[in-house]
Amino acid sequence: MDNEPTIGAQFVLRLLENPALASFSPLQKELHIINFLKVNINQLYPTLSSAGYFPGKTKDQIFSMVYESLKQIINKSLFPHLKKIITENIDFSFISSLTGSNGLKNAMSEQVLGFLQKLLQKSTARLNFLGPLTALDLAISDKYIDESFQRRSYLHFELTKVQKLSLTQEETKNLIKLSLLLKTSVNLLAVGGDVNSQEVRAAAVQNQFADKVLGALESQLDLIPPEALKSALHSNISFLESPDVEATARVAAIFAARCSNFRQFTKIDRGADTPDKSWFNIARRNYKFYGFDSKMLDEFYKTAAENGW
Amino acid sequence: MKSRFIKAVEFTIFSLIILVIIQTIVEDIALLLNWEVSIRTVLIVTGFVFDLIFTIEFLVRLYWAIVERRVAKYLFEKRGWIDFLASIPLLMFNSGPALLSLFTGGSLFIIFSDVLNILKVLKAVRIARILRFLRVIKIFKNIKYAESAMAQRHIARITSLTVTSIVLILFVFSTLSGLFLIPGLQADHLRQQEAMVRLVDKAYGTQAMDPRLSTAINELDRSLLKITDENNTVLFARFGDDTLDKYYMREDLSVKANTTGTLRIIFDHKPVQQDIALQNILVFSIIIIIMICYLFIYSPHFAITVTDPLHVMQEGMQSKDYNLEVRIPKKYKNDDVFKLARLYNEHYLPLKDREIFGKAETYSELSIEDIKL
Repeated sequence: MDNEPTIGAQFVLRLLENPALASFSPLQKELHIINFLKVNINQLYPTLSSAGYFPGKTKDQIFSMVYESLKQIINKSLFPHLKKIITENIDFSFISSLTGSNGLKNAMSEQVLGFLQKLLQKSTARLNFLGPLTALDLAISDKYIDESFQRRSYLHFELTKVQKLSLTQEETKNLIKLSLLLKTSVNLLAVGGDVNSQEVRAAAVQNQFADKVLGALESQLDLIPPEALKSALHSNISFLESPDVEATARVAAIFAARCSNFRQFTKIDRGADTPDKSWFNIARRNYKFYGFDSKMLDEFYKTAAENGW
Repeated sequence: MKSRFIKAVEFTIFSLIILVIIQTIVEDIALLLNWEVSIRTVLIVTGFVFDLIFTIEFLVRLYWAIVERRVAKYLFEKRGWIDFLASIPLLMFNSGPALLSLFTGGSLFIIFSDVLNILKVLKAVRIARILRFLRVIKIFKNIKYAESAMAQRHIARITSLTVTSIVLILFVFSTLSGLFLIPGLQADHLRQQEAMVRLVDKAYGTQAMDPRLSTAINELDRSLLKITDENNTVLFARFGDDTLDKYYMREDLSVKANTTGTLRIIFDHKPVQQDIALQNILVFSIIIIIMICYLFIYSPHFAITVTDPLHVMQEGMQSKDYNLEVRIPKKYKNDDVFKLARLYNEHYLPLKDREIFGKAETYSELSIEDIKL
């Protein structure tokens, strides 16, 4: 009975060692293992319920125990990775420009990290964090924002004139990164850790719900200004239903979706278009389904096409 | 183990095909550039060895095809007809007689020359060599120039048709022109020699050669190499015997006698052979250029316009996380394949994307076969 966590951990470690998962990030590995268990639990059950594993346990109990071990193992690599992103990839000094007051950068980053570590105990949050985390890892927003500041077309207009951000190019990129990082905070009010839950998906959130979460979020992330929190939360809202959603939120929504099923192509097949260009073109046709800003997608599509991304 | 052995055999055959083609070209070059007899002898022997190996290869393959009752498949689908045409006829009409001629000091050649017209024999021997170029098709088959089996098959088919057409048409035309001595360089050459024999016969009879006449003959027909009388006294010689031995094989020479049989007149046949060798090099150059065009121009074009878009669509339909669109070149956008690709890009992929959105949480790279509990 006492050694069940150890058995669960050993089982998870064996799954993680599988070469098929070698190229994936920790959270992607977690998702693949969860899906594997969900699909194959019936076939695995006779073995997993045997004396060497979890005798006398039901399928759900076994699933929960294995998942708990999986989370703990993944967290060992996920949290240091998150810390690195927060401390090295995001410069919180943009918050001073946003609010006009000086904030403590270290305190902010520590608060965000602590918040995420707590939030990512929730299964739905973990699932929805995959896209934003991959987007942050790949710094995908950086190259597109750099391009948009050069082009000075739709996105630049939306950022500077509509959203009225008085931030530099670098500060804007950091705000978008923070929006990506905190996008999953929309799951803050999600109840329990049911991994089968699909209660919050991209662009499936209503304005009122986001406002409700904002209240809770402000109390936990009091060092982060509401503008940044709104940008993060609103990245879960459909642009078609709320046309006044912030441009940074729209960008975060698109890049999180871009990276949610991200496949790293080591070699692009001859005759195929480039990955980003293909994805943005598909997204342009599905913009209503996902609630994306189609003009923004058009701009990203052109940027990807021109740069061979 | 067996597959390794077969691979080794296939590699050896592939190497031999390349070598035999090089050998064929070098043999023609040797003739054109007047290389020494010793080098040409080596080339004749190697040519015979190659033809013998390919004949054995053909017979072994045919034997196994008979044993496995798939003779038609071997001959037509697996291109056994190339194995046949580029082996047995060559052994019988080219390298075999050439080697025998070497061993018999040219007496066999003389027998053939007596039965047939000497030029016809020469042509039959040299024209048969064209068949070796058919082996180029087999080399092409072994080059992995395209990933798609369909592209390989299409390019191989069109290459076979082109090379076979060129070689067989040339073979048939050359054979016919050889058999009937259609007016041309070779027929002129033969007529000129016969006229020269008559002239020499009338002018000199059995008299000693006048140096002034010798000069005139020298300028009149550059193919006249030597005149001797019945006592083997040299009446005229373009070169010394050492030069003749060094640069002329028996089949390079044509020996004729005057009407009374008192004079022995030796002619040079190399110009005729060089003419055929030049034709062979020309044919081979044409084949090589066509193959290069197929390989580096047509094959990529076929891939870009047919197999690549099909491959991308196939991947997109097979693999859940493959969402790359087909790149549609503007100038081919009205091709059937790209019309289909447009449907794939504009309808299938967006539909698949929406479909996967709802079911992404059931996809895993792991399968039950990967796990050994």
